[in-house]
Amino acid sequence: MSTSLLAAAAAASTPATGFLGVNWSSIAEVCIVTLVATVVIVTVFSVGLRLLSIGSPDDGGETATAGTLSSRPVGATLLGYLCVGVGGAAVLYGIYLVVPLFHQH
Amino acid sequence: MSVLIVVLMVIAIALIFDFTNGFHDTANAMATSVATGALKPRVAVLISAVLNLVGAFLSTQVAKTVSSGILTEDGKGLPHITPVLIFAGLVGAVLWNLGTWWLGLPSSSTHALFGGLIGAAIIGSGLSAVDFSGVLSKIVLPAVLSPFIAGAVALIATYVAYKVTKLAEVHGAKRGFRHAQTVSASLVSLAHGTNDAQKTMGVVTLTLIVSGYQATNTGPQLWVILICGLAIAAGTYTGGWRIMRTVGKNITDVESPQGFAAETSSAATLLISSNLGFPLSTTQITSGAVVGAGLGKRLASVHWNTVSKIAVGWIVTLPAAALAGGVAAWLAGTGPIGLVIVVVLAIGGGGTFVMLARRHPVSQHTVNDDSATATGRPVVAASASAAS
Repeated sequence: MSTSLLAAAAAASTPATGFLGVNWSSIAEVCIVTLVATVVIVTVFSVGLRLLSIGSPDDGGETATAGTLSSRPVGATLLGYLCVGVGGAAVLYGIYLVVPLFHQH
Repeated sequence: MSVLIVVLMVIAIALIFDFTNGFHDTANAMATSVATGALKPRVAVLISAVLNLVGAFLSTQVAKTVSSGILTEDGKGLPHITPVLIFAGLVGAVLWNLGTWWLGLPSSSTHALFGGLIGAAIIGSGLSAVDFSGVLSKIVLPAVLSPFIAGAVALIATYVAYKVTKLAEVHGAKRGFRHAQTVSASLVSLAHGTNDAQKTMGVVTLTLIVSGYQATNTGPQLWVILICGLAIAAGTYTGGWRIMRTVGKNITDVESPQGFAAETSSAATLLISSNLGFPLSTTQITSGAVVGAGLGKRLASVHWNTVSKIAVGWIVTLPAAALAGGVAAWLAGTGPIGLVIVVVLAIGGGGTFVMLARRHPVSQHTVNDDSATATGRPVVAASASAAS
């Protein structure tokens, strides 16, 4: 992949400067993309933590013994790890964006 | 007077500025992680220092264009700028950075740098040396927008994080948020390193170019990258505890879900804005995100008194640094004796702030203290909590 998704998005928008010599549409774009990206990442990660807590000692008032850990539903646990993994992938994409070597020819 | 001596002086003051930039901006990335206990203070500044150093080597794009659109250029470069003016501008920037650090204010080092340079340029060669529409669109507007964008995003993110995890009461949620917070804060640090170290590199390179030691339109040399990276990393490692306490404890008492939401919002705002070609300012992003995270939790209290002091600090930074840089440029412009006076005043002024800070020190051990019991009187929030 030679260009990033964001660079492609930036290229797609028309670079017109408007009032005060400022590209207001690119500001609006920054707001929307930031909001959506952050809320998606935070939501997915939080859902992951919630899923991973299912069946844990604190959940449902069971006593905290080693045995209760096995009552974790496999599906919720797997899905939980998947959600946390999405957060990890977002971080990797972040590093990719920070390091110009990765997305410049 | 030998050009070489002035160039060496510029390099020295540039590295001092870079050092202050480091400890001034550690708080940006690491304040919330230290406040929630996700990282021990020493570990936090070590991670931040290493990532700033790494970041310095990752890219030199910013260094090449540090002054473009702000100082007037012609076909060959910057006709109005001399090494003496750059020196004077840096003196202004360093003094303002030390002053705001003493007050515990998270002001923008970039604004201090550009403010100092703008003031020196105006005194040295008139208003035409500065591109004011560039100042508006590249400095003022991003600074005004950043806290609101990052704050609104952090507010929503915090609300979601608390809602989904039942106020982080579900098993393992707090620990999970703490780990995630560390990761996103590190990303902020790395992004910071790729930006701020380069601004000093850009200034040093600019000096080498205008004094004829380097060809125009060339990037920073390796030794410049190295010393600038090391200076900002060393500054970061000393830890700007005064500012860290303001951001992590005194705007609002940050909990781990809020820290996670704030750092994720900061990282996203920072990366997305610079990749979409409208870079926003780091300091304003991270402070705004902490305020948003405070508002995002029900019944959470944001100390507006502290916030308003920070906001005033932001507004004043550029003109104040410009004034200091302008006075320094005027003095230095009178000749070698004037330049010596500037050096003496800079050392005296900087030393005064350091001494004042030592009277009420904030260290890695007291960085998380409640401001009411802390001794750091001049730190903004001490008076904020006294008032509330």
